[in-house]
Amino acid sequence: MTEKDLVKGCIREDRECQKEVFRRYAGKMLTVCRRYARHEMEAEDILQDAFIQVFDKVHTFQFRGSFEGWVRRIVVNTALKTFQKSAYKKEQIGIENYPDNPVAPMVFSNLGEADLLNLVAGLPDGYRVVFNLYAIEGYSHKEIAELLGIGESTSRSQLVKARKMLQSRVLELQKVASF
Amino acid sequence: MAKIVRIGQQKRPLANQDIMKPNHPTDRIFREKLGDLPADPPMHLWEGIERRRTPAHRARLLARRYWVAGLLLFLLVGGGLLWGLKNNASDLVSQPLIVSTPVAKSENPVSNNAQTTDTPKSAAEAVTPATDAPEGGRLNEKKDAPTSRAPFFSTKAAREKAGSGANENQTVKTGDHSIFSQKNTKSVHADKSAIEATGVPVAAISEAQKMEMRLDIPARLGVHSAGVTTSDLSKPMVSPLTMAPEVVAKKRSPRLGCPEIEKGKKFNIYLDAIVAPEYARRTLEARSPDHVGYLKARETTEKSRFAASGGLRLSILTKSGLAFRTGLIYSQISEKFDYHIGNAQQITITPIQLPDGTVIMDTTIVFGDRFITTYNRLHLLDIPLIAGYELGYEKWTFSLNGGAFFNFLFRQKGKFLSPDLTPVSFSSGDAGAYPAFRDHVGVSFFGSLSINYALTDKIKWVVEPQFRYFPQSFTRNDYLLDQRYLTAGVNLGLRVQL
Repeated sequence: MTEKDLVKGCIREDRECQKEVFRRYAGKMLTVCRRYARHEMEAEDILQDAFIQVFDKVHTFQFRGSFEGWVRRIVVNTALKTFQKSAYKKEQIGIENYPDNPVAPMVFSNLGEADLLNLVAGLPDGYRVVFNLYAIEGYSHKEIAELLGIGESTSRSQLVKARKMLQSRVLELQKVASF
Repeated sequence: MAKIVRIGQQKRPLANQDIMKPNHPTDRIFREKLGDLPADPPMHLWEGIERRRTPAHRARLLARRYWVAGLLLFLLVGGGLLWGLKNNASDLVSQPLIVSTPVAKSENPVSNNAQTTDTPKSAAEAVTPATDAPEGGRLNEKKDAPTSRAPFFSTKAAREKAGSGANENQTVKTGDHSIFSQKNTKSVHADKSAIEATGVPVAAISEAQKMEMRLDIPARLGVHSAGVTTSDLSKPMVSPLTMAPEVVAKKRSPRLGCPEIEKGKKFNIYLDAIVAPEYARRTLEARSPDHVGYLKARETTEKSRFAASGGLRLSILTKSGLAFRTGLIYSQISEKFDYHIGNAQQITITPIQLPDGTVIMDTTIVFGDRFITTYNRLHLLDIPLIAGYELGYEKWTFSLNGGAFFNFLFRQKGKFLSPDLTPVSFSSGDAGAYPAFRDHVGVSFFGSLSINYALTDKIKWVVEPQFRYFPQSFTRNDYLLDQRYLTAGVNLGLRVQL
């Protein structure tokens, strides 16, 4: 079945088409959810909520651009709604708490996907969301500011803090590994 | 809305700051490894999705998706049905039961008690007791004797008197009714079936038969004869069985048509008292792309609760079916604002007395989340100006209405998030509150299909599905978001004719 047929079937509330859409895209979208969630259960909740939104709003898809990109956008928006906006503004952790020793990027490339996911999951909510949106989804700070209702400068500072925290966590991992 | 940038593909130009600063290597690694990470589809979650998307949920979705089309279809079908019924009603118009026939007036009216000059023999022959009407009701012709059939007498005395003489022309009055009896009238055998049948079209009965019917019926009814008038054939017979054709037609075949207006009046006036449970659909739009985030924050923290309206309406209904309505309508829209402030702790200190008399203070600290919950209310007072078209069918009345509501009072009170995402109060009565809303919401457009059922002659039950669209935003032009409404509900109430 082509993507167009699947979408039309979903608009008609055809259960088989909806199940096929879920089968095709849920795996990738779960990975997206894991990056935003604090733990696996939260990721699954976000995924469920997101696909309910997908099926409820599929009639608004105008067959412009990729359907996967449209689904991903809904998943990201659903993930963002999980967190209160205050999380982005009122993070208590300051830059000064982390050492200013930049870690070589190769250190990250030596880590597996699961480790990287765990590192991202360990970030505070605000850092994690901004890091995901900027570093992985590719949004600009201006777009992130609009999405989250924060200022551009807040978005930039959250990103910097996120990177520093990731570096710090990697250093800790290395120390543990060396033991 | 931001577009997703695929890994390895630049689908949009980078912002200036991003161009100047190269891709951070850390970001690149995370993006390459986690961006499109495949995973097995978690099919165990599919059942959860199926459970939550119940048939009721799907039905609600379809209703929300197609409600405008549904409402338009409903109004179109309702209007078409009314129009079709009205046009088809002409097939149902019936013939009158009894022909309105002319009655001849005699120059020599003969009363019940006196005045026939028939010979006894002819009178005897002619007498027909009222309780024993002759079959077919014959008129015997006597050329020689100035006899005439003294038609119908209900008393013996009257019968005897009828034999005492005869006038050439006699009419027998039966109460208010006159029957023509003409000299030298040939006897005519009335068609019994024609007399007994009701609703026989006029064209199927000959003139002679009509005459017999006129003569026969009072006898069958036992009606007293009084006198006979002749010769004025243009005057209609008045008989208890004769009804105005339009009355007969209505009684035999009710049809959809223009409403009945009281005699002597050009229009009827009604007073409607109505209340309506409603659903209010709110639309929020950011006036600038920079405020999309704020829009989402408000959408997340506010939910629609209920809406309702009620009021009094005066209707003027004309004979042509056109109706004009005005009045005073109060409406309310209620929404709920839920906002998570953050973590909070609640400390409770309870004094406890020990057995030895010592009092200690037991301190309990409860950690939890703190929310603000407020029920926001929007109040409107409007004057409607509505035109409608009404049709009646027996006890039912249907009308299609459309018009405008003119708002002259708009009050609001509650809380929402300000553009800097902190909860603030809005209130029309407080100069210090956040100034988001207008003083008036302007004109709104109204449409409805009213179905009324007559409980009595003057009182009708009203059921009226309706909708109302507010084209103007409820918020001021200098506020970041455009907030509009569309309400739909069912008016329920009573209509009293004044």
